[in-house]
Amino acid sequence: MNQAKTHNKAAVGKKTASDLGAKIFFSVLLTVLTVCIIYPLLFTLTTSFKTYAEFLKDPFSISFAHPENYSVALVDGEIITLLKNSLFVVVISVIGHVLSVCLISYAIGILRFKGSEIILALMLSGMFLTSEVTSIPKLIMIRDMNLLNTLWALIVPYVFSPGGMAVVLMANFMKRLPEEVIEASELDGAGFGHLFFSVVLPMSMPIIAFTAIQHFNGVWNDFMWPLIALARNQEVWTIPLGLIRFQGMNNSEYGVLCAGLVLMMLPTVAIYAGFSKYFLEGAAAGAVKG
Amino acid sequence: MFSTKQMRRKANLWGWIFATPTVIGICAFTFYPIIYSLILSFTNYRSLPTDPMDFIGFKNYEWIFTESAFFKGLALSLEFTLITTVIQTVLGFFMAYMLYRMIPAMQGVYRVILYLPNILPAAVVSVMWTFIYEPNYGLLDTLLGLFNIDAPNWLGDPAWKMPSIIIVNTWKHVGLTMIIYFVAMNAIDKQIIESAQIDGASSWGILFRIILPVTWYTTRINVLLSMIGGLKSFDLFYLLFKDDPAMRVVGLYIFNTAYGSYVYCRASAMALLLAAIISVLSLFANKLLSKGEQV
Amino acid sequence: MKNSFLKKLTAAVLAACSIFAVSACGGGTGTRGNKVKLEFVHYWPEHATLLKEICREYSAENPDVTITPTNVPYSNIESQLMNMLRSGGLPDVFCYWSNACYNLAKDGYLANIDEFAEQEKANYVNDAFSLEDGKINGHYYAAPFRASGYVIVYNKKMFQDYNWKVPETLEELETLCYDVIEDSAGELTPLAVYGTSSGTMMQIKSTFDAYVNILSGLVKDPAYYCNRQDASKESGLQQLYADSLVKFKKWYDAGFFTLDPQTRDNAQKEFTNGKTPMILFNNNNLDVLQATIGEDFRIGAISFPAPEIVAELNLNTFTNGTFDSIFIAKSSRHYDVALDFMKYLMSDEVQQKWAQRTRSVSLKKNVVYDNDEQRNMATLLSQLGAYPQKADFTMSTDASSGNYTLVNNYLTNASNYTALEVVQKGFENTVKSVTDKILNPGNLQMIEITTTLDYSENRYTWLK
Repeated sequence: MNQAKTHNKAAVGKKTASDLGAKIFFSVLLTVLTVCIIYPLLFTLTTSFKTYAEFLKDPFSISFAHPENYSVALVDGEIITLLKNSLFVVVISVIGHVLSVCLISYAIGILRFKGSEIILALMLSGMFLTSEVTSIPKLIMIRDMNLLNTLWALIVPYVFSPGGMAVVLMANFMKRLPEEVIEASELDGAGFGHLFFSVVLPMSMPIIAFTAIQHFNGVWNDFMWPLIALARNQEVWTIPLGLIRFQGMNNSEYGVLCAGLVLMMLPTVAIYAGFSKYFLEGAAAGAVKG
Repeated sequence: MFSTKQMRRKANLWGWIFATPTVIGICAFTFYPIIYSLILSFTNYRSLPTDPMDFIGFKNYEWIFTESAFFKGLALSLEFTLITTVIQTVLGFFMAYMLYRMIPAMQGVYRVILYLPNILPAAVVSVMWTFIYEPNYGLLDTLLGLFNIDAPNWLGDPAWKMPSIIIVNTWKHVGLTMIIYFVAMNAIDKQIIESAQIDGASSWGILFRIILPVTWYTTRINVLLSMIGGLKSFDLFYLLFKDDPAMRVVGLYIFNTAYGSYVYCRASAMALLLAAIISVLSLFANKLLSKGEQV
Repeated sequence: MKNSFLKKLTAAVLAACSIFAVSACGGGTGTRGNKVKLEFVHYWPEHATLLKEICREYSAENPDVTITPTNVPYSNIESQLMNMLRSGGLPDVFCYWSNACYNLAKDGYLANIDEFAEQEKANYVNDAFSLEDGKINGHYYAAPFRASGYVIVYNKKMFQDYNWKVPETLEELETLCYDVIEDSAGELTPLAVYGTSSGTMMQIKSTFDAYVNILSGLVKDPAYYCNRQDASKESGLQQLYADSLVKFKKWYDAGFFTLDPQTRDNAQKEFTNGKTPMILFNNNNLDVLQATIGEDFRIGAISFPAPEIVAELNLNTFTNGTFDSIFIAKSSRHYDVALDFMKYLMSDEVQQKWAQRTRSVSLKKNVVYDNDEQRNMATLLSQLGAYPQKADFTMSTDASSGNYTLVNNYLTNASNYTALEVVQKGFENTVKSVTDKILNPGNLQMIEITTTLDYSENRYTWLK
C-alpha cells in the first residue's frame, strides 16, 4: 500500500509537468482554431456594413454605417424567392429521404429478410460513385419526364437516391436495438407495420435526426445538380445558385456581396445551432463500433 | 430474433414489402444511371437530343489513355487527397481530444463553433475565401502587411495554389472529422480513463496509449471518408479556380467535359474509370488500416 | 413523449409544405388565349432594371405580350444558353456575341433576320461592319445591340505630370512604355492586363498576330474566316507568328506588363491606385471605373494603336472585341412577336435611351451622344468588326488550355521550346481538335491557304 502511494506520487509529479504542457498546447490550439474559424466570418459580417470605398480605406474597421447593403442584397439577390425555393425542396426531400432510408433500414436491420446483406453491400458500393456518373443519365431521365426546370427536378432525385452511408449507419443502429423490446411487441401479436411505427421509429430518433440533418445540409448546399437541372428557370433557383449569380453582379461591391453572404449563411447556422444536440446523439449512435 | 419458421417467413415477406419502394427508387436513380453511363461510354453521344448514339467500342477509353488529361488530373487529385487526409485526420484527432477535455458547458459552445464551417455551402465558403485570398487587398495580405511580410499571390502563384485550396478544404471539413472522433471518444468507458489517471498517466499518455488504439475503427472511417471525398472533390476547385489548367483535378475535368464541352460519352467513361479507381484505393486503404485494429 | 414530438414535427412540416406547394408550380412560356409570353435572356445584371423598364414599355404598346427578362452574369451566358438548348431549346430572344455564334447558326438553332438586315443596313455606322459580323454563309442572324471593344484607358493626370504623349502608333506605344519604366525608376508598370488565358493579357499577342494576318493578306483568304487555315506549309507565316511571340516576350521581359493580376478587379485596382498609367479595358465598364476612381484623376481612352505601316497602306485597323447582339431562336413558337421585339430593341428610340443611360456605344447612325467621351469612344471603335472571323469548330479544352500553357511557359522561361516550336505545337493542337470526330462531327479538315501572302520585309519592321 505504501509502495503504491510513493509510486503514485512520483508518477503524479511527472504527470503534472507534461500535463501542463498538454494544457498549454491545447489552449493554444483552441485559440488558433477559434480565430481561424470565427475571424473570416466576423470579417464578412463587418464588411457587409461598409461601402466598397470605405472597405478599401480601412478593411479592419468595425462600423455599422451602411445597413442598406442588406436591403440591396435582399432585393437584387431576390433572396426571398431563393429562400422559398430552397425551403420547399429541402423540406420535402428530407422527409422523403428519411422515410425511404428508414423503411429500408428497418427491413435490413430488423426484419433481416433474405438478400438484405446483398442490398446493403450494393448500397455501400454506391458511395464510390462520383456524381457525374449518375448525373448525365439522371438529367436525361428528368428531361424525358418533363420535370426539368421545376423544383421537382431537384426533389425527385434527392428523395430516391439514399446515400449508402445513411443506410449503413441506420441499419447498423437498428440492428443493435435491444432485442427484448422487439420480441416483446412480437409477443403482443402486433404486425410488423405497428412494430415499425410505434416501436422502432421512436427508438431510432437520434439516428433519424442525424440522417435528416446531414441530408438537409447536402440538399441545402448543393449547387452542382441545380445548376445543371434548373438552367432555364431562374424563378426556381435555390440559394447556392443565387449566390453565384449574385457574385457575378457584385464582384466589386464587397459590401453588398458580404451582406448577401451573411443572409445566405443565417438559415443553416440557425438550424444547426438549434439541433446540434440531436446531431451529436445521432453521430454517436452511428459511428461507434458497438 | 424471429424464432419460429413462420415468423421468419413473415419477416422475409414484410422485409421485401418495406424495402421495395426504396429499392425501386435506388434502381431507378442509382443503378439504371450506372448502366446507362456504361452504355454511353461505348458510344459517341455528345449531348443534344438530336445527336447520334452510335456504338464505337473502346474508342473513348483509348482517348482517356492517350489524349486526355485524365491522369494528370488524377495525379493532382491524389496529391490533394493525400495531404488533406493526413492533415484533416491528425488535426481532427487533436481537436476532438481538446473538446473532450473541456467542461460540458464549453463543449456545447465549441461544438457548434468548430463545426460551423462544415455546414456552410461551398459557394459561400469559396466566395469568402476568394475575398480573403485577394492579392494586396484581402484579409490575409492586409494582416501579413501589418507585420511587413510580403504575402504570395495565394490563388495565382503556382507554388501556392495547392496549399491555398488545401487550407480552404481543411477549414471546411475538419469539423466533421472532429465530431466523429469526439463521439467515439465519448463512448470510451470513463472508468478506463480514470484508472489510467490514477496510475499516473499523463494527458499525452492517455491520448496516445489508450484513446488512439481504441478509436482505430473511427480513424479508419475518417480516413476513408476523407479519401473518397478528396478524390471526388471538385466543387471547391470549380468555385475557386474556375478553369485553371494547372488545378484541373480529375473531378473538375470530368465536369468540364460533360458540361463545358458537352461530350457526355467521354465524361461517362472517365467517371466510371474514376469510380473504379476510387473503389480499389479505398479497399486497399481499408485493408491496410484494419491491420492496426484491436479486435 | 418522443411520439408526440414526432407528431408535432410532422404537423408543422406538413403545414409549411402546403403553404409552399402552390408557389412552386407555374412558370414556363406558352400562349394563353392570345396572350404571348416571351423569354428574354440577357447578360447585363447591372442594367437589369433598365431592361425591365424597356420590356414593360414594349408590353404597354403591345398588351398581348409579356416579356420575362432573365439575366445571367457575363461569364455564364454560354453555359446558360447551352444548358437551355439541351433542356427544351433556346430562349425566344437572347443576347450573345456575334463572333461566337457560328456553331449555333450552322446547326440551325438561330432564326435568320435577312429581311431586317437588308432593310436596316443603311442605318448602321461604319459600313455596317456590325451587321456583317453576324453574317454566316450568306444569312444574317445577329442584330448588333451595342459595341463591346477593348481600348487602352489611361490616367490623364499621370500623363500630364510626367509629360508623356498619348501614343498614336504601336511604335510610339512601345517607346512610351520604355519611358514609363525609366521615368518612374521601375516603380510603375506601364500596362495593366490580367489573366493567363481568357483575360486581356493574351490580347496583346493576338493583336500582334492580327496585324501579321492583315499585313500578309491572310484576312482575305477564305480559310481565314472559319479559322481553319492550314499554316503547316506556310513557313513564312509560321516564322512571323514566332516573331510576334518573341516580341510579346520582349515586352514581358522589359516589364511592360506583369502576370500577377488574375482577375479584372485586380487589374482595375492596380490602375485606380496609380500603380499603372494604362489599362486594357472594355469600353462598357468605363463608368464603373470612373466611379471607383472618383475625383482622383480623369481617364482618357485610345484604341490599341496599329503599326505605322497599316496607316501607310490604308488598311483598316484591328480592334479586339465583338458586338453584343440580339438573336432569335429558330425553335421559338412566336417568331413574329420575337422579331417585332428585336426590332423594338434595335429602334432608334430604344438605342438612344440605352446609350444615354448606360453610356455604351450604339451602332446606329441616328444615335446622338451628349458628351465627348461617348463620341470619342464611338470613333475609337469605328473599325470594330473589320475583320470578321467565325471559327466553325470547337477546340477541345485540353488543346486550348495547352496552347495557353505553351505561351505562358515561353514567357516565364519555363519551357525549352523556341518560339517557332511553340507556334508549331499550338498549330498541332488546333489540328487535333478540328479533326476530332466526336468533338466536331462531320469531316472537318484544315483548309489550304490559296492567297499568295505578302512577306515583304518592310511590312514587318515593327515586329523586330
